[in-house]
Amino acid sequence: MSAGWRLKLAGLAFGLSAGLLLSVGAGATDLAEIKSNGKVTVGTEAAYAPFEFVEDGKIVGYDKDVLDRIVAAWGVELEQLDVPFAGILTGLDQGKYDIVSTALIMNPERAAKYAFTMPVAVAQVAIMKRKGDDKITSVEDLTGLSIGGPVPPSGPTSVLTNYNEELKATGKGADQIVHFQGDPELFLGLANGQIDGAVETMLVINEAMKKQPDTFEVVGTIGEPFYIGWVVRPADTALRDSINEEIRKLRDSGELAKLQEKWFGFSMEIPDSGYLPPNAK
Amino acid sequence: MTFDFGVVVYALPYLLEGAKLTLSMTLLAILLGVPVGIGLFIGLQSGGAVLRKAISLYISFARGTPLFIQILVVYYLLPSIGLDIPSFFAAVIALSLNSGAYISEMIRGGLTAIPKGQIEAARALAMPRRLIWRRITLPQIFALILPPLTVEFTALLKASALVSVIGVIELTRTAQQIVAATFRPIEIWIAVGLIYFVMCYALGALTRRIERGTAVYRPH
Repeated sequence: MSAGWRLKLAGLAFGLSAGLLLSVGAGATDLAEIKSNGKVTVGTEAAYAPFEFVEDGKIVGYDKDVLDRIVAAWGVELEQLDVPFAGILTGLDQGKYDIVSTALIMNPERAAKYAFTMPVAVAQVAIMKRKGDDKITSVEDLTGLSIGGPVPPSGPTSVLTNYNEELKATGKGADQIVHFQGDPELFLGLANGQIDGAVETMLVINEAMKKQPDTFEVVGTIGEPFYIGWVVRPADTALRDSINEEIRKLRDSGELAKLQEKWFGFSMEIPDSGYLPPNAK
Repeated sequence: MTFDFGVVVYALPYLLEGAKLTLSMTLLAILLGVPVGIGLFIGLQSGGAVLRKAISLYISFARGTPLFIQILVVYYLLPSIGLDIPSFFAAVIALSLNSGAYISEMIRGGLTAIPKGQIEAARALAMPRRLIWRRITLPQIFALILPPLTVEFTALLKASALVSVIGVIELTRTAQQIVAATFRPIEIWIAVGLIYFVMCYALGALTRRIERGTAVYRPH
């Protein structure tokens, strides 16, 4: 191989990796552009009941109902892609879609990299156990136990990890934190006895207990309540503001509370400000 | 843990829909992968030094990196150079580029099994080079490599489950969706395993038939 070739190959390899790392350098996407296209493309991980899941071949759920109302208000068509969680933020970076409409806990790591909408829900993170299992009786003492959570960058798992660090300082931390591919696997692992407890938001835990009655019970909640919202690329704050405007209208008209009743069985307080972590975009 | 296989009855129509996509994606990837493999092989046999080096480098990359990463690269990298391909076609391209590399290696292996004397005899009869390829070498190579090709095609069909990561709603992703909505992983995954098995078995039966039909070309 000649030196020239080696150089070209090196250049090619560099170009490829640089291209992979950088997001598409196109300008910001805003509502005007979406309206002129007549279509908004949205990425969703439709595997998180009751927020978003597939029923009879269609994406349904709380987020989907909210999204449908926003899209209708904008008067555009919705193209919604179902993307596994592992690839969902990469797809946003690469411009495969402009909005991630999937329940995302507003943690500082995410808020530093993406522009969060205002919250669509508030959730407490909790630990669930097998019904009647007396190995675990309080979230204050997880000594010797193994607790599972969805694979990072899952929000509930990061809450659990931070909480467990605090517990460890008092010598009552969990033995190990086990990661599962998704909630169904997590709950199966708990039912099968692979783990002693599972961490999720109360909204999802309620759904699991409904779908598999007499299998699980809640041990207790951990940490403060978390706000849940959607994200857009950090440059698209104008688009984020347009989404916020519609969410605010839905909240003020009482529609949002109605949807919360429908999917969660109760309604929530959605604040106007103060919901973002300090370093947020 | 109690099992409820009633959920499979609900899920089956959607799973079969996903299986249809898995099958058409795999067949398209095979249809494209075979010419890619032949092209790479021809380039390796008769290309210049630079082309040969580039092809063998390509083959090493295709065989030496996880298919999972190749799929991500095709889907997420091409938009950076202005080629935004829908996920289904990105999946087909990634699968066929990967498969083509393996197929070209199989063809190369097949070539070494053909007795040199045949080609020398053809040359002695003044057969043109192209004709030797078309009438003597290629038919025998294909008869020879059909069994490993069958292995490659079934491997491709199963590996196609990986494209769920770029949002192609094929069989595996459909199953994930249903599992997430019903919280019944065991029942659904057993059904999905059976569907993959039936598809692979059918693909194997088909190529075995072709194998019997082309037995006459196999060198003795």
